[in-house]
Amino acid sequence: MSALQILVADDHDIMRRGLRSLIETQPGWEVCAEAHTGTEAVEMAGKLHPHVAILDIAMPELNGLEAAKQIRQASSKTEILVLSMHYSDQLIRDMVDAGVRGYIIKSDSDRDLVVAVKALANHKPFFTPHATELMLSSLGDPHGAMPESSDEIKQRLTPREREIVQLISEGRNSKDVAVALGISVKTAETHRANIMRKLRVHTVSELVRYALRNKIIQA
Amino acid sequence: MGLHLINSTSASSRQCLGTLTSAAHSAFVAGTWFEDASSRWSTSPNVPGGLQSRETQDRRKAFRILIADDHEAVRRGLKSALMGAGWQVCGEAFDGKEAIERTANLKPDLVILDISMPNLGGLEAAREILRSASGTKVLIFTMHESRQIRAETAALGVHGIAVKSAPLSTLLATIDSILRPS
Repeated sequence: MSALQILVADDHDIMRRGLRSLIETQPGWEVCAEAHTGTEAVEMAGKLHPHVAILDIAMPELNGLEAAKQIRQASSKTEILVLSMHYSDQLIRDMVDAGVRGYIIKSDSDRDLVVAVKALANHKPFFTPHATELMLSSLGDPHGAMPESSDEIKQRLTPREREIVQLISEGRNSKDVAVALGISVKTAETHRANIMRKLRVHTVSELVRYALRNKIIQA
Repeated sequence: MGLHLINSTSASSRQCLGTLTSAAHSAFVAGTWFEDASSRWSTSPNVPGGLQSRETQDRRKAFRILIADDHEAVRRGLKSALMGAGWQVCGEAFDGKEAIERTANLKPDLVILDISMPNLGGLEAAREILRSASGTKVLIFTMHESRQIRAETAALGVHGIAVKSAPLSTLLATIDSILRPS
């Protein structure tokens, strides 16, 4: 029987080594690749088609959530486990929408990582009881269940726009964004203008605050 | 004794902040360790770049390091990195209280402390260790990159601060500088 192939993506070298060490305690499990950005993770997942991809939520260039969406397209059989520092009901909703079926917080990784990977390897979802409770309470909450207004729908950013919000919030200018995404500077500037209009912000610092509130970047 | 403070939030902007002794500073530039031409080199897959001299390995194996972090993945990662680089890891602690106890029992040369730990945080533990264990040096290893945290940490008199987002090579260079014989 071939080994369970696992991709590990985290921008912290020590965390990646530690996750590898935890994974390699399991017989038949193998870390087939490591990535330190979301972009690398997507590239490697597309090439190697791992059984499971473990993604840190907060990575430079492309965060774990956006990387998860792209990995689902590039490698549909790869199950995804997202790690974050804190619980967030908005994040859980976004992840479920993105097709992510596993979520744990880093402080529980000792206890939950192996169990989560085993579940995902068998194509079963894994959310901790606390995460499940958050999901259920947001479903039952009348405020959480309100249908989106047309304003809210218009404000929803496309995946590309969310990528650009992250890059701008990390300090990149339009030229840097264009290079990073392989688009023209004019296209990058058009996206930027659309984003600012949708979000009704006028400055980069307002955009950064939006990105922080919506967990596109972390403080 | 100099304070070794690394700000390495991105590969393209590494700076050494704070006051360093001149000997430590020369070893510290860009987090790179230089050996003289007479050293023999050995390969080590666990060390970034793959090469470290036998002299470096011999020097490092004399030192014992205690790791304190509440995340097992971080403790495992640190242990793997430090042992791969030639140091001894004499113990681990899950929180600040355990870090103080294990330092008193094991008398490590260096204790690496996370800031955010349950029961007792890293800064409080550092304060107590510096007060009671004069032979043990303290390195704060944190995800916090704010000026306020750096200022609080520096005020304690720790021997070094490193951020978790920095490349591994920078951490190893920091430890080398702290433990280099004066």
